[in-house]
Amino acid sequence: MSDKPYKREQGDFELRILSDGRLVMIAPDETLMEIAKTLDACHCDERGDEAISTLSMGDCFAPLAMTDKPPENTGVEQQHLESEDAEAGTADSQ
Amino acid sequence: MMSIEHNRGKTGDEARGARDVGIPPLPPRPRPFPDAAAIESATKHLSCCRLCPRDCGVNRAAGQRGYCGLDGKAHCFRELLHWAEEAELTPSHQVYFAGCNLRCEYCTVLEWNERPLAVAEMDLDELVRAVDRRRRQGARNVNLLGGEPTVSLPGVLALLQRVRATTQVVLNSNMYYNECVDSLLRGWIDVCLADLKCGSRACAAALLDAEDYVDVARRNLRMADEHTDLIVRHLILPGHMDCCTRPTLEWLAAELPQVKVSLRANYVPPIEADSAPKQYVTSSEIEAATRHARDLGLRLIQ
Repeated sequence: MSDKPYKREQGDFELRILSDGRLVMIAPDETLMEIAKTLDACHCDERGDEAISTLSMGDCFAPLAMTDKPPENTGVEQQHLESEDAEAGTADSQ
Repeated sequence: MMSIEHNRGKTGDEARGARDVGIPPLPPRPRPFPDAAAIESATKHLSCCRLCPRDCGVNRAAGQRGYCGLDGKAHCFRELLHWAEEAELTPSHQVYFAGCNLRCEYCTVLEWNERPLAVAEMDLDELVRAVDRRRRQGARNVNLLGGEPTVSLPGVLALLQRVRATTQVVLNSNMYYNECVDSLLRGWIDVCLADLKCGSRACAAALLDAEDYVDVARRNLRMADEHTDLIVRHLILPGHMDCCTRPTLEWLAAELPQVKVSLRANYVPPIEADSAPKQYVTSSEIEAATRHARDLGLRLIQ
């Protein structure tokens, strides 16, 4: 296994689990976006807060739990999985 | 707002809650859309491409590639229904164009922009069908982003020729383009969802590989404000309050005080970075930026 950080390829997405409990989804497909949205909504329900979304163009945070103490690890705890429909012209557009 | 159902018995769009919600009402009268002459005019620019301030001057129509890495065709790598754009735009049908004229160190879709020609060429008929399907699923607009959509301008206009009559169009741009792009887009864009990324030449050079970004983007924001419903997005970068966020907000308050401003807190540090912050944005940074924007009287939206 290479000691260099994995570099995402087209069609990959990236998950990061931060030490403060947040899950970061980078370059997610539509299914992952729905998961992030659901997690975010559940978390906000638990806190009794309004849902404040931080989903954006290529990345999602879920659940939202901002902290004053930045996590020490920013890229260590991650998994790379193959996205099924991230490429153009596949499931979503057929 | 549509409810989301997670039902294992369903597949595809349906399982994701993207159900057909029926035929949405058509606009009272068809919106104007680009004609063949407009598309041809944009296409001519590709023979000596100076669409953006990189001014590469290459013949993209003949297959040459400049900084953005694109030939003369548009390449789309994803389309989806997005539930968390700014509230007034959501749900939004996002169409991602590969290729970009910036090299943001923290780009979250870098892999698509570094090698845009590895992405399939845009299938216009298929994309038009997708726009119609997403509209039936509740999309309020078609949202063109990337990468940077304006480097694929002829392809963008060809898509708008087919869909704009019945669909609100959002252009999500980094605003790094030459004035000719504003002229070519004028009249065809309803909402300009515009990035304003940095507040200094030094940061723009280090983070975006574009020292002139701030000046160019600010000029283009003024022009976009003349003919679109302008929303300015600013991504809060950790540790860049004094050099980027504060000057950006103060410029907006002075020059475009009426525009809607969307502060974004979803910075993702890259695994490897020379200049980009290596930490996530903190709640105190978000609060400080929000407070400053409010103190300046800016129209913050979520």
